[in-house]
Amino acid sequence: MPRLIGHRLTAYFAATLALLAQPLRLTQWVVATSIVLTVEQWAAEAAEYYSLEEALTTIFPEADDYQRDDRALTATEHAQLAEALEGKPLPGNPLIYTAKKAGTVQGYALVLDEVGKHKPITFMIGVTPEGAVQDALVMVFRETRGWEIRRKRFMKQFRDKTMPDPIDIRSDITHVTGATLSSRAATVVVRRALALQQVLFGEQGTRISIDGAS
Amino acid sequence: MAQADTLKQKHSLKRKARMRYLLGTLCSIEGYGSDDSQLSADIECAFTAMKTVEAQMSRFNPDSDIGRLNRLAYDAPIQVHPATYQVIRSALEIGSLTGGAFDPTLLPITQLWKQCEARNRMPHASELAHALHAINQDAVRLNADGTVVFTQPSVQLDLGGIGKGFAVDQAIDVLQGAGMTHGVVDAGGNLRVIGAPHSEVTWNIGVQHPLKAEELIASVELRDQAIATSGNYERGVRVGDEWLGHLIDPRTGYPVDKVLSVSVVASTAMLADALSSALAVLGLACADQVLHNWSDVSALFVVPQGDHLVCVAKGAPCNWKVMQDVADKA
Repeated sequence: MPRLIGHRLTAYFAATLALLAQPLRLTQWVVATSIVLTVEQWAAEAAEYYSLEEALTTIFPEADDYQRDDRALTATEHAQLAEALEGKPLPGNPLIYTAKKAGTVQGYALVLDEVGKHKPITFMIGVTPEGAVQDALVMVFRETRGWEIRRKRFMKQFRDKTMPDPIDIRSDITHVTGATLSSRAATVVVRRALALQQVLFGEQGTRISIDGAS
Repeated sequence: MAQADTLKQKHSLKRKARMRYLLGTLCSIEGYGSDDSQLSADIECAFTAMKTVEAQMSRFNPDSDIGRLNRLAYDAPIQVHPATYQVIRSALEIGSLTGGAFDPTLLPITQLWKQCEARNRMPHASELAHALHAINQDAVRLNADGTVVFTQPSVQLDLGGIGKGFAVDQAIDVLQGAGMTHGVVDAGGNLRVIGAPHSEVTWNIGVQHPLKAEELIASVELRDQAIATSGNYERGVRVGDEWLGHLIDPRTGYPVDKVLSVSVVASTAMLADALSSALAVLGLACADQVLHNWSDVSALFVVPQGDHLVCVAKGAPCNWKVMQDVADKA
């Protein structure tokens, strides 16, 4: 699982320096150290796979213009989405970009979060003007995995060998087989993205104005 | 990651990782190289190869090769892409070498059990017999001219148990063709590695504990190899109070629960993918007999033994490392 080692160290040292700047009693040190470790752990778990720009140009490589749509969803749009999503309301306002080439809409890129097993995963879903999924990628993966933060001892026990062979899982294990990685979260955001495209843009190619919102 | 850092320092190699939603799962590709933009381009090409496999072989797409075969191939040869032809041929070969424990025509039985789950009842004997009749990989004929024909009307192909592995292999081919010497393609835990992060260290892959979601049960070091795991612990069918795993024995039509999981290390992800399913169906007792067909395939079985779990390695020698407390109560 990729980790932002540089960011982790930066966060660690920044937090440590902040603590060293003031005298602390023992109990305060315990609390402070746990804060540092939390910061370190959080930073270690987040992995950025695509920056916003990379994600946009990967999904719509031929577009020459990516327009951000900042308008908040209206109450009517929220209601329509909830209906399309079987009563499940859309959490928050999504980040939406319209990708154009020479003025013609190529599609829409929707940045959506959905909780995986424990933490939100940030996806970008590309939808064509016709309402088909162009592509789906993960921008940031923050998933916690128990095995990443636990230190367990392994041993070789096959072919008559019994050799204690301690392994620091966090540093040694790079990938895992046999565990499904939050694909449910991906199917949820894909469904959400398609509903958003349909409600906001329909087949017009431009955002439909509802409730007199600009 | 310590290995990766060492690699960066010693060889100034850059690391790039990307994750996409493909083949119904989250797929990641991680590569090392000297040129950052070239790495990105190579990884995107590898993803494109995986998307091509999905477009050709998904049974959910009526226009894919498999979609067309399932609609039209009875008594009428259908031309398919050479890659689809190759995967069908491999599926049939593995089916034959595993005595039918792997079967790409299993779909009618899988669908029957899903229907039964929805209705919360066990299948009737007549329903099972009808579905079993439709399972017949001998009715899939590959012609020398690149066409495929079904000799039985009810037969349906589903490459779900092998296609993901093939997609991983295709991505690896693209990366190796671009000159990548270190990397990994991971399609939801069905993964294959190129080389190793360091000349003296191999890729360490964790094997999920079948009963404890937050833990690993074993690890294995890979070098230019693939690994896949099949188990009954994450997906399955529930009928009434009875939990039935998703692994179904194509020979009987019934779900099997001989093992909790089987991890297979092989030279290709396609073989690891298909063999992990077949060995989970066959169980430990038949493992030697089947693995005898391949000189370089290793398998790690996790099986219940009383109120304990045990790990048993079969096949070619492999450096499995198992959790010290694997024999503890699950």
